[in-house]
Formats: sequence, C-alpha cells, structure tokens
Amino acid sequence: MTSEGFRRAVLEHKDRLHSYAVWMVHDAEEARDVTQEALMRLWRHRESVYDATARSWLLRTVHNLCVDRMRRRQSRNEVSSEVAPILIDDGADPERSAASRLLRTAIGRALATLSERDRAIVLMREVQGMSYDEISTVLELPLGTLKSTLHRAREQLRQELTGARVVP
Amino acid sequence: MNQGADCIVIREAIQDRLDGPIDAARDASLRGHLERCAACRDYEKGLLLVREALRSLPTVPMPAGDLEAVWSRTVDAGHDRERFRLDWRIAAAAVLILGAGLLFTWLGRRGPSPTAPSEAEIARAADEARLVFALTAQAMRRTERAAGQVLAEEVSPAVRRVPIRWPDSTHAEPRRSGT
Repeated sequence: MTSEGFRRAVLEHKDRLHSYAVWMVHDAEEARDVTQEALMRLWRHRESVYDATARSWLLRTVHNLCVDRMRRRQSRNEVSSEVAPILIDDGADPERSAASRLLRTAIGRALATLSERDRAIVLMREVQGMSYDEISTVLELPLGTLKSTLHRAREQLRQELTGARVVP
Repeated sequence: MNQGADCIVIREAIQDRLDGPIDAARDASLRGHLERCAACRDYEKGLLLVREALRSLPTVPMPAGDLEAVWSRTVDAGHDRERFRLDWRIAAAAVLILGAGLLFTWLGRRGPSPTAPSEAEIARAADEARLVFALTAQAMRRTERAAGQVLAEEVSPAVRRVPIRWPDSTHAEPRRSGT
C-alpha cells in the first residue's frame, strides 16, 4: 500500500472504525485511542497490506484493540456517560420520533450486556453490514459458529428489549 | 408463551430469513405457521425491531483533531523522512565528486612533467619499444613462413573452408548494374 493508498483507506474507513469502537467499548475516550492506534498500525504495516484488504485488516485491528482494552478494565457492562448522549442525539434527523430514540437507547444498553465476541458479531453484521465470509475472516471463526452465535445474540437482544418493554 | 417443537424449528427459519432468502418450501411452511402462532409472530416482530434498532445506531465520526494527529504521525512525518533521505543522498554525491576531484588533482601533480621526462622514464620507454619491435618481427617471420607453405601447396589455408556469402542486397546490386 502506498502513502496515497493509506490516505484513501483512512478517509474511507475512519468513521466506520470509530463507530465500531464506540459501540464496542462504550467509552468515547477509549474509542478515539483505539481508532488512532489502528490507523497508526496500518501505516507501520502498509508494506504488507493490500488496498483491497485494508478494511478487513483495520476492523480486525480495531476489534483486537477493543478486546484488549475491555479485558484490561474487566468489560464495562454499562453505557458510559460520554456515549449515552450519542444514543439520544437526533443529529441531522430531528424528525425522529421519541419511540425511535427510546429504541436506540435501549439497544445501546442491550448491546453492553452481550459478551465481547457476541457484540462484535452483531455490530459487524447488523451495523457495519458485513458478509458472513468477511466476519469469519476478521474474527477467524468458522461460519457455523458465527451463524449460531449471531442467532443467539439476536435472541438475547430481543429478550433485553422485551424486558425493557420496547418490543413485544 | 407455549413453545412447541414446531416453534423451535420455525424460529430458526425466522433467523435464517433475516439473513437472506430461504427456499420456497421452508418459506411456505414458515408463513403457514406464523398465521396460526401469535408467539412466533411476536418473536419475528421482536427480531425485526432489534435489527431496526441496530441499524439506527448513528455513525460516530472520528474527531477532526484525531485525524490531524494521525496525518502528522504518518503521511506527513513520512514526507519529512523522505526529504531527509533525499538531502542525505545529495550530500553523499557531493562528497564523492569532491573526493574524486581532489584525487585526480593529486595524481596529476605526482606524475612526470610532459616536457621533461627523467632518464629512468626514457630508459623504460626504450625497453618497451624494443620489446614491441621484437614481437612484431617474430610475427612477420611466422607469417612469411606460412605464406611460403601455402604457395607451395604444402598446406591449405583454413579460410578456404569457410563459406563466404554476400548479403542479398549487396549481392544483387552489382548484377543489376552489370546488365
């Protein structure tokens, strides 16, 4: 990967990586550190990373850094005060209903109850829109395990939202 | 909520359908079950809401200051290093050229003057010239002996066994000009 390739990869993926880190570690400050560190690592390893695989490489690096951080602080099971406002912020869409804000807040909290691996799979599949093959490569998991884990995680989230009376 | 064996199979199908199309027979069976089973309808509705909620999570942009920090520690820092590497090469080339110039100047001063050779240099040149003349004379004697043998047809020169062909163009031209 050339310097120009690196610049393109950073501009294309930086927000996606940062979002993933935010929803993964539930801590704005740590998400910033993790994202910057992953991009620095891409620069250091740019000789061995191809442009076409930069996205997977970056997501794997961000994921591993998130897991390290969470293990160091024994997995925070709550949404930090810095991240909570993001869940209720309507951003560019002020028309969003109160029900929608409630749903987002509830899912943010429900995500925090999942294990590291389950949360990673749900985020990659449902938020990042990645294919099973790509997730399998990034997380180095067999497809069967990946699929059954995703089904279980969705079910857990459904139960969390049911408990919060957000879904039937 | 009563969950029978059918419901377990159907819920697996609901999950699979969230990931993409399922085969027609399985889909028909799923639809039929959902018409009869309110619990599974709620289950599907709940999963769809989970998906909707996940997809509504906002993208959180990387702060601009963080991006600047990344540039300054990667691409921009790399440019500085490249510039330093280039400067270093130019400096090394300049030192080499200067060194070569000094060496040639020193060797030129050390050599003999073209207008006033020393006696030792004249003697050495005379020796070399005598050697060249002796070798030339020896070569001429050998050539004369070989020519005598060829003329007396004692030997056949190797050159006769080498076929000589003119290139087509140069071979054709004289013929045309001759007619």
